[in-house]
Amino acid sequence: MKEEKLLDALGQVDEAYIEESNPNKKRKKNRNRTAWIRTGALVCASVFLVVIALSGPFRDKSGTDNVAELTEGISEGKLEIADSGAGEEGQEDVIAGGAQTEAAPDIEADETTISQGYFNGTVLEISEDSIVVSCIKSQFGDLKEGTEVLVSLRTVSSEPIPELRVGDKVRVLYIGDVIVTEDYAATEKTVSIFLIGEDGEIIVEE
Amino acid sequence: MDDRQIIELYNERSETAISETADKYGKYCHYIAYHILHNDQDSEECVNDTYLRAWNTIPPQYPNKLSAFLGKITRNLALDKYRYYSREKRGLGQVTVALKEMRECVPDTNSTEAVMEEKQLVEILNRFLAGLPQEKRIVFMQRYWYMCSIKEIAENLDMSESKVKMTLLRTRDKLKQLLEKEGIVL
Repeated sequence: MKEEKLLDALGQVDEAYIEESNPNKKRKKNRNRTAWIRTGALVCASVFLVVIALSGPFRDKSGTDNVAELTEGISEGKLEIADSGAGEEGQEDVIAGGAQTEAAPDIEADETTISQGYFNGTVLEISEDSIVVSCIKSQFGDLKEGTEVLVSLRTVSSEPIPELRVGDKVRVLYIGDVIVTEDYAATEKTVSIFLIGEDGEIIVEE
Repeated sequence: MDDRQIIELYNERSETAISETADKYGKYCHYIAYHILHNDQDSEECVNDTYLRAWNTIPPQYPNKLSAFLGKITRNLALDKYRYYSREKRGLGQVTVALKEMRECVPDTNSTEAVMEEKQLVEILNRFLAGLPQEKRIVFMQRYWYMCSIKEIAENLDMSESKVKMTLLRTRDKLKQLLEKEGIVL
């Protein structure tokens, strides 16, 4: 097979490249970068928790706060606090149905969504567990038009992924950050993928 | 013992050369074979055959980099064994996936062009690798030379799996473009 010929030829390349890429070779890890990311994440999480802890709407009638429940939901990747399964009647009232209590009149589901977003784009490449999508428009404008984004097909949602073909227009729902570097962009976690029409709206199959 | 001394032992036909090679590069060779065969016994056989092959080829050969020299032998032996098992319908690990990915680099055939000799292909690949930034070259080599999984490469190089995948995708694309530009037929 042709690809085997290529793989064999690669076996004969310059020994310097073989030695250079030896996986057992100890490499200097970018600990500074990792430390910064870790510290940054910790600071963000702390600020987030303090803000939530200080805001009245997240305290139930008994005076205990729901921060622990909330963070548990976050760590499990749940998108909405209403789904965090608190179980106690009072808590559910406050979080999911803000209108029922005077303490939380303005809380909407969107505010409790954790770094969720979407973008529309055109499928450029399809592989076994990921696709490359050229962005047409993103919800927060953080992805420029034409940015090629690697999207994992291992979706969080149980929503089935439609059969995709190169050239299809799709909407990608994701949680977490979109990693954008000079060379590539990638979603952290894919929630679901939908086919969209020319108007940019999701095609609902009947 | 440094590589020069080990090579000298081969040169003198001293059997200590084998044990010194095994001490220094046994694990490395086993790593390469195991990533292709995913079986300890088969990998061990390949490693032992590597020592034998080294014994038979040094002299007259004098490798510049003993590790890469041995690695190449192990990789070839393991791939041969892999092909034998593939014919026997025993699917094995990363090689199947790597081969599938490599197919993306193969340009469409044009019957008027001459079929490329392996030597020429190796020259083009060397040129291609030389033109890549070091990080991308290492990712590419770890995937298609050492047959590491995406996860392993990400861990080895302290980068995300997404970045590894994207780097590989881009690099394969570049290789395909180069092969097409050179009018290569495999």
